[in-house]
Amino acid sequence: MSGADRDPIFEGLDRLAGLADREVAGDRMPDIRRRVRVARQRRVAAIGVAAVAAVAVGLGVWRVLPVDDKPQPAPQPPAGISQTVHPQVTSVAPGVLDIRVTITGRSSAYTDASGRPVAAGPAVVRLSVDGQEVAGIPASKDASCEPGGEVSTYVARFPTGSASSVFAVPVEGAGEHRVEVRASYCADGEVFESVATVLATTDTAFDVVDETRADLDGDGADESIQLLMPPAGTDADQQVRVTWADGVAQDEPLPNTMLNGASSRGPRPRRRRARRSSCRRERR
Amino acid sequence: MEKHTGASAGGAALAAVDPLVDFEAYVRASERKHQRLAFLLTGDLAAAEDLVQSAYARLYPRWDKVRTYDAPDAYLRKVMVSVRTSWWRRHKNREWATDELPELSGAADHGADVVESQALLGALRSLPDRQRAAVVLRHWCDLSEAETASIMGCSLGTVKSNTSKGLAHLRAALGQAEGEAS
Repeated sequence: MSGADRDPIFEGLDRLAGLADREVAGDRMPDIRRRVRVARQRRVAAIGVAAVAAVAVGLGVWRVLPVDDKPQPAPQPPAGISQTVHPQVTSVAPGVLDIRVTITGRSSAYTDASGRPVAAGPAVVRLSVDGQEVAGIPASKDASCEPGGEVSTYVARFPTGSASSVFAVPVEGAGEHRVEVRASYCADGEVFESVATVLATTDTAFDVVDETRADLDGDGADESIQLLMPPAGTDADQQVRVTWADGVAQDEPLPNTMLNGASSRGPRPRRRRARRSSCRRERR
Repeated sequence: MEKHTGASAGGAALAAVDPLVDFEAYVRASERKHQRLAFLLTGDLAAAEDLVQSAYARLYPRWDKVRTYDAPDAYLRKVMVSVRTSWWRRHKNREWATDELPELSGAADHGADVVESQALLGALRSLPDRQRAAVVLRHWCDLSEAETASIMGCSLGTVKSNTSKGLAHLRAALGQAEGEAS
């Protein structure tokens, strides 16, 4: 198609386009340069915003995702300040762990609400067995760890009281149990925590094969006497358990009761004796 | 009457000239025909002026490269259609065709032409954006279907269908205008 064809559409459009001639501006360049400058500024601003957004997203991802598998070093207390936790765990009876904790260390003293120093040492102690907290000392609202506290050495025992006191913690099932102790201490205005974990093995649960009651200590109250049989396949001896009137249980092994086939016959005489004793007491 | 064929106003012959001076020369040489094209694409004088300036502003940073083309006008037409389409997309919910047409001064001596131009402008405005662009590029810029498809960024078939529909609409409007004038 060409203009020579006198296309009516072309003619009409060309006539219409001629109307635009009167709108031709004087000098276009200043406005073109201004538009270029504005576009450039917008592009720079957009790139800046995109860069900031990318950095923000990157930081977010860095915070959320572990970027390094290496364990981060734990913060260390200042030189000369430390604390060590010694849990002692014994399995004195089936299903029961006796736990005592000794904490030794050298740390800053806590201060009370009035700013006076109070004793140094563990302010919070948590004792947990198999992940469940079973005992502890909660945080005190009055004690706070302030910078410049007096540093002193200490030895603390839990439970408090006599050296022979223990936490008797019942556990379910025989086998290995995880005992963890966490104790906090103050180090020049910063609270640190020392942790100790031990694995304790409880004896396989014994079966109560006989039981009777008698006033063994003559205080007028009956004690419970139980004969405990170890499960088959173990080398343990039979045990006798006396539960005193105050609730404290005492187990004593019965040596050589499970040797040479005694496991099948061993309990019988003792059961008979226990029954006789019980009968005697009833007769009295 | 001049029929625009997409011939370059500059081209490779200006390669040794200072680009800024060269660009200003190109603007001066081509602004009239591009102003006309913009008016046909927009149907509005103010919008046409804005479209031409925007297209030149987009061409300016790339002029160093575009000036070496055989036909910088083709590049600028593509920019104009692209800008016009982006405007339409951005403002399509706020823009609508109107029956009120501007007073066509300067053509007062030609009553039939005025009626026809008004009818054509009204019909052009009422066309969808792509139909309008296809008709103007094909029948006023005298571009081939392939060139039009390249500028519009669509297929040959789309150009054909848009041109056909747009032409039918314009011819109907022109026929009606001729009937009214006679």
